[in-house]
Amino acid sequence: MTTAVRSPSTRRPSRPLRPDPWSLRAGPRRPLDVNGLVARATLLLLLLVGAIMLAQIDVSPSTIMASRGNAVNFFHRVGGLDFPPLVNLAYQTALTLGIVIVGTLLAGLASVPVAYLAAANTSPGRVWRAGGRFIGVFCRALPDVVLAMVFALICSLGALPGILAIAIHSVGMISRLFADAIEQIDEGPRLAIRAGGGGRIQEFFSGVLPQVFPSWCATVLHRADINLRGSVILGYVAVPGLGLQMRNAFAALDYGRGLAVAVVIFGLCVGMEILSSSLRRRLLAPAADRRLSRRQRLAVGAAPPSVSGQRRPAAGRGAAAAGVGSRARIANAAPTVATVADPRPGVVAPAHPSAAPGAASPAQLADWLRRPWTPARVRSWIGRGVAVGVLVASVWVCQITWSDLWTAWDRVPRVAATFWPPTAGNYGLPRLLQAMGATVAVALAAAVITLVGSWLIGSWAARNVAPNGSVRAICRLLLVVIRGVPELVLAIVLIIVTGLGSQAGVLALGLCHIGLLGKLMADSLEEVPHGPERALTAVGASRAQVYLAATLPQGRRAIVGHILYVLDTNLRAATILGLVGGGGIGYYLLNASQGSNYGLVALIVGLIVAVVMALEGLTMWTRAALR
Amino acid sequence: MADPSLESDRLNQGRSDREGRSEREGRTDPPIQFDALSKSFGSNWALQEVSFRVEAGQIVVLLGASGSGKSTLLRQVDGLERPSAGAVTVLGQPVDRLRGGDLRRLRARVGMIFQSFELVGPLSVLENVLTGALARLRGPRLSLLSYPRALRLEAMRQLDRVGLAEIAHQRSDTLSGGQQQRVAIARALMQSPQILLADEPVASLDPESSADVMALIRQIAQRDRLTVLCSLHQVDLALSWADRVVGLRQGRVVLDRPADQISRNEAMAIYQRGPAGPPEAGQPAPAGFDEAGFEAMDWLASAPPPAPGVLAGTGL
Repeated sequence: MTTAVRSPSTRRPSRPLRPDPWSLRAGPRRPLDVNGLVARATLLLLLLVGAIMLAQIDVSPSTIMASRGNAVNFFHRVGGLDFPPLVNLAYQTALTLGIVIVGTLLAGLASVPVAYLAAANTSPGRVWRAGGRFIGVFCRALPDVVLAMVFALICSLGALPGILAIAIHSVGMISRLFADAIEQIDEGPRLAIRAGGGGRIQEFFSGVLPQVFPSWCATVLHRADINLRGSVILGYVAVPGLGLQMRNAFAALDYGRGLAVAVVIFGLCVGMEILSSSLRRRLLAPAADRRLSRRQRLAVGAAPPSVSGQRRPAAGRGAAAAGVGSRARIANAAPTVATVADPRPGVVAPAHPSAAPGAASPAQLADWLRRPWTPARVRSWIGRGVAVGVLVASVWVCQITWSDLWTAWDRVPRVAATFWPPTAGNYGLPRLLQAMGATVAVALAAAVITLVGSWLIGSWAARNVAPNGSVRAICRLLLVVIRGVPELVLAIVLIIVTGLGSQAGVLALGLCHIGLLGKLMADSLEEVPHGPERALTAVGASRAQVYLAATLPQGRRAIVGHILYVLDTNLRAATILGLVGGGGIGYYLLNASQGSNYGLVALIVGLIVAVVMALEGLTMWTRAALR
Repeated sequence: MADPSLESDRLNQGRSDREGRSEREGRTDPPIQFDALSKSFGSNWALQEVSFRVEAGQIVVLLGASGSGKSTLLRQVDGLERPSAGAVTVLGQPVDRLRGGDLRRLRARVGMIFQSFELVGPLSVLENVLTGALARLRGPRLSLLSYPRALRLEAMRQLDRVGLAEIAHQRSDTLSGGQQQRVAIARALMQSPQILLADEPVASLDPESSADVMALIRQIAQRDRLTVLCSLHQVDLALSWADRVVGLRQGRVVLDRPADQISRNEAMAIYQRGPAGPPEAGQPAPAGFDEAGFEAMDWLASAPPPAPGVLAGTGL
């Protein structure tokens, strides 16, 4: 090898064999993400406050162990479970399900226009969008128990107040998820309908609705599941059903009956959870197929091999194959109408039966117009029939006083006047603010318990983290069971064991939400790209190293979002738990409503709405900052 | 429910009134006319002073590299985008000044075919074709049976024309790309259009399906005497298929001639980078360059330069 000799003046500086750390340091730096830093600091602060509150409320294994004597006494007094007569139990169960189904369905219908306004791609304008989002957030902030209380004043006693309370409160969550689904659609079909002269409403019904319908149904089912667990509390404001039965039993110190009803509610919730999960999977399965099909067709321009038995005209084929051709060749190439290749393996659509395209007789066209009764179509119609049957039965069992729908309007001004002006009553505003602070503390402390529990169980419930299938199956089952326990039922049992106060509330919320957060975390961990995990495994990293270096960092953003969501849910639930003695603002709300002090109720609800909306704003900002 | 036949009669009446007026005045308006049309997106000019007209029954192909303004020009015809300057006249109407119902009525007479088909995946083939008739109907439609039987039969007829009547009830997202584009053609035909716009209709298809789809469009256009404006990337396909080729580069018209008077090299020169100007007749493409070469050149020219400091310490 010859070496070129250069004069010192022209010689370039010698290159270092290894990168110079100084020159690397001089490379481009990521701009400082102030928002991200503040958001992370906020999250850490919330966790720290939660941990301090947990210590202050004194929720520790030693305190729980100290209460075990109470538990033994309590279960000794209960003796055994005293189930109500079967007919009565069946009726109460049907009534509870009926109220939940009708309320959730109404919420679904009411959420459609709200979601249309709130979704960025369908909203007529910014003001409309802000309005749509505000309606959603406001509905979510209003506790369903307060709504039921108000509707009980306006309507006759019965199922209707419960249905309306569930419907309005659920609009918050459902409209938000509906709007998210609208924003994720493929915009192309809408554009095609607009290009063909379709109007905005036609675009929505023909271009948007068919795309989002499965996802919307899954959302409604999920909400029905949540509403069933939440319906227990409605019994405390005299909405009929299992919740009222349980409340009456505990009020009469009939713990055997109360616990028996609680067991029925628990079974119902677990059953509903399993049913709605399987239905949701079925509903969303075609969407997955759809994505696959889209990938298929984009991968090769959906170019399946021709499976038609009919030979393609040589001219057309030659022109296509060579990519060159005369005008005559292309113009004369009859389109190969008989080629109806199907991209799915093993599926071959029949060739065109008519002699030539466009030559079918009117009778033949009418014959093709009749849709054959395939097994899939039969199943689909059976499903629709069952859904309509369940809805009709739900409406029937609720025994709704329909006349309320037009007579209740007369009572609205009078009832509204009783809530004005908001007043702090004998308690005074500082005491109420202190109680509100205690509720926030319960929510934060419970979030810490939830986080620790769901991190452990949720991680092992993920297929790519669990050491084996059995561990995963056990963790998944555990999450389903925990999710089935209504927090109110657990709170009541814990209050009996640990006594009145925040301890029971924190434990009930913290434990019950492990089911929700654990499932969300497991799903997010399973959805991360598996390439980096495989790469680390290939270089000999241990299971824990792969989890910490590849799985967790990839799922981090989604998990932070879920934690914020659970914090949000905790705060709403913490206000309600006060109604059964869980401490905080709920206790004052119960007293005010029982004493018909509606001015105080209005003030407390205002406080709850303000805090919930402030937290909503904080979580939205944090999510956006960490995106 | 409004009678669709009445609605279409109303549309046809308006159409014949306008055509009759033009004939009485002794002139025939071209179906599409661009006058000094310009369109900007922020500081980028997608179209600059584009002027040409498309005669009735003519099949015109727009050729040009990605970003040359082909799709933007097609969208001006349908009023999906508004010009920044100049005018677009379609079927005698100034598209840029039409709003609301007037614009929708015009769109109903202009069929459009998209590169990625834009079908509603969960709907059946037949329901997708029927969405082409929405402009003829009042109010939304939720299921197959909410369309009048006459329209359903008409949709079947259009599906029969494209050779897919037999799979009318199949979900459209289970079809192959070629089949989906046929469904999209049937949907456009359902509008009974006078103009057919096609935005790179075969860009997502393999060569065999491409030839099939293009042959089908030409056959239908000739039979129904449609005016066709189609954007394409494939030079050979364009030269063999079109009556006339309009070349666009950087938003300007650089070539406008009958297809049989254009050589392949002239057409390829449209893809050259550089100041937009009409290529001279017979001008050869740079030696050693084919279409892929021009595409690669485009990509290299449009790739952003590396950020300062990125290469520091790498020895480059």
